[in-house]
Amino acid sequence: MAAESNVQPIVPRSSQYDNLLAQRKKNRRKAQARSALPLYLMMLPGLIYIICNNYLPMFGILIAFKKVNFSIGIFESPWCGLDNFEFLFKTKDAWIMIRNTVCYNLVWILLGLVISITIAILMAEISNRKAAKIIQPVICFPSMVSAVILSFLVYGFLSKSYGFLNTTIYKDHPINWYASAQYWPFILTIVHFWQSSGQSSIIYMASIGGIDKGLYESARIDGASKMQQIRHITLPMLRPMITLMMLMAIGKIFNSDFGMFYQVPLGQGLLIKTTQTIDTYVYRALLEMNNVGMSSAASVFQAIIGFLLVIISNAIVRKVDSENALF
Amino acid sequence: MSELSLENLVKIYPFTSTRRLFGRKQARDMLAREQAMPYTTNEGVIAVQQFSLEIKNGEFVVLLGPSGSGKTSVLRMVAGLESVSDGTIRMDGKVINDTPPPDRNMAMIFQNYSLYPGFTVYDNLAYPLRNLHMPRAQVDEKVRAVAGLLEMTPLLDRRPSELSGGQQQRTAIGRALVRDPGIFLMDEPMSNQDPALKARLREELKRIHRKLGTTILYVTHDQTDALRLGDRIVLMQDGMIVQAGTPQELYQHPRNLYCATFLGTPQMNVFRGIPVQEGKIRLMGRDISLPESIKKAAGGMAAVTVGIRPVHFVPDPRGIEGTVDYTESIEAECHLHLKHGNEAFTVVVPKTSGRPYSRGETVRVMPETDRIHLFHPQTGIRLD
Ligand SMILES: Nc1ncnc2c1ncn2[C@@H]1O[C@H](COP(=O)(O)OP(=O)(O)OP(=O)(O)O)[C@@H](O)[C@H]1O
Ligand SMILES: [Mg+2]
Repeated sequence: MAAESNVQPIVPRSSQYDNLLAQRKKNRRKAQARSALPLYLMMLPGLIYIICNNYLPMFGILIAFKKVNFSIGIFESPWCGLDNFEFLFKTKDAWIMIRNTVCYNLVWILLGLVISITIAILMAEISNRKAAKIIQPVICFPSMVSAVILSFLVYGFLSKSYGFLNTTIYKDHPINWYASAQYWPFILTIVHFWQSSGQSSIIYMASIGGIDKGLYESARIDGASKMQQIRHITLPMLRPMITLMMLMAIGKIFNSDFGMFYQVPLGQGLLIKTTQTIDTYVYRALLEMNNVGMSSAASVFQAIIGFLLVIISNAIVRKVDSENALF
Repeated sequence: MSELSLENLVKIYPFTSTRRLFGRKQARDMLAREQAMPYTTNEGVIAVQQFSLEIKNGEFVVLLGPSGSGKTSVLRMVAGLESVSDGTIRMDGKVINDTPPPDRNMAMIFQNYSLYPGFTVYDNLAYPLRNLHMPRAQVDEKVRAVAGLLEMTPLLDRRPSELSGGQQQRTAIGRALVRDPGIFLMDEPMSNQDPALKARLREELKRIHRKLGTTILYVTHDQTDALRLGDRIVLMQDGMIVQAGTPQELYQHPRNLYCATFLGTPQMNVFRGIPVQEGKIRLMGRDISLPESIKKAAGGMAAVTVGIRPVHFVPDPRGIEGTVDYTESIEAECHLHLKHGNEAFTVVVPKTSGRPYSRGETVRVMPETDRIHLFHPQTGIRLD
């Protein structure tokens, strides 16, 4: 049906316009440079902030490769190669903290995906706009609670003698929560999702809001049920966003929310087996052993592995589904 | 195949609420705009009213009207996507006002096609059938038949994002076709196609309609679509039907000035005419005799509105004088934009004489007697 034409172009390809665009661009750039000056000036404070706050401290990476001696200063301290890394991975905690960090993150990424998309879909189905307007901020509120306050909320539930759980459900055989490491994966998971799922669903809510309503209407005419509409329209349309969020989460797979992992277990040493993550380890190493070099090595390790993971997973995404790759 | 009967349909959209936490200013602006609409109630905007229409079995009916005239609203009410504020919709004699959309045995094609993004063309076509729990072999047979009809067979494994606009549209038509719906609803399905493809798709649609004889209700704001496709055109304005009839009826006997000027390119010329004696009317200093059928219509009026289509003028040495303002030459025709005093009008002449018209030249033309339309000067209603 398509009448493809294979007529030769009237004007043959020639070089008369070859550098026209570049020339134009150059001229335009000159003109723009002047008019854009105020914009650059406006950008300056932000730029300075980023340089000072995010890039200058990167020289701290040096610390990871030095045997820091404070009396002579960081720059004068002797290099020590990868000793700090070696020391970090030789400690008996290394395995625990890496396992904890990665496992918590993996479980939370997957579970979080399901939970936040479910919340977003449920929110989108609320037909009463007024109710939705109220519910939306309410479910986001927990994410604004600071880790210290959060730890007290949790303490209210788990305190050995006065906690809600031990005075109600476990009245007959109270549990010493803060001394029993085996419960903490579950406790932390619940606390994590209580705090973060509202906020992380917002981004999906926004994406769902952007889906063409006509898709759902035509599906309705086709006789698709609500569940089918979700499966065949909502989820495919969310796919780019899901990929993006996953890629970002994977980049942070060696990081953890320090506030939560440290404060919520009240820094209890007994719980280290299940609550120690790389971040809390770095903090403890600094605090208890004053080992700046090793803490720094841990951070460098997180950053490099995270960076590599993002690159690798993006490459995988590009292979599988090139439209949704990040870069 | 089904027939559809719409009786006194009304659609009222509630006013925008201004009692919201955010965006109050926009809401208030919106409300003000809505309240300034020509037809409102104390609760909302009347998008459709007094809409009665009988659509016969196998008929191709086109809803035509400018933007905001309520075409989509009618279509969505028929499809069941929008509640009916008042009136009844009957399909094959059965009232379906409250029937849910999938049970109405209709298929709708949306302006932007609304294909399932993650599905291949094949799955897009098969999906409505799978929802009817049809056996797999039968689904396959139907899908392939429809794909063959639309010449889509080589594209069955593609996803919508890998199709051109026209192919997407054919997929959308196919998805509607597979279900053998009683009625086809189409909301401006071709509005974003280029003219050449549009013409081809129009033929395609016409062919499918001839072949299957399905009842089609087609919405458009493009008069070319309407004139070429429709068995019957329903012209709408401000939510009401201005005139319903065959394309010829609307073109030759427009019920009022709105209809007369909406249809036809270039637009109909509108003049002020003074009835001088029985059967004659003075137009730009010439007395012109009226056709037999409307000889008496203007009797007793001080002035009437005269409508003459640009194509209905013929050169005449004793005709109305016009100075050429500018000309457009379109295919085999020449559009002369003429001036006579304060009046400006357009005349279409065939491009036969080799000599081109030049600006400032004087041309004499005469309207064809039986192609003159008279309208009431105030109400714009056709005088017969
Ligand atoms: N959901 C809605 N809420 C409020 N008003 C609406 C809604 N949908 C349509 N309207 C109003 O109803 C009137 C008719 O709209 P409709 O969409 O039926 O027009 P249309 O003829 O299809 O126009 P177009 O050619 O631009 O698609 C318009 O004035 C529009 O502003
Ligand atoms: Mg519309």
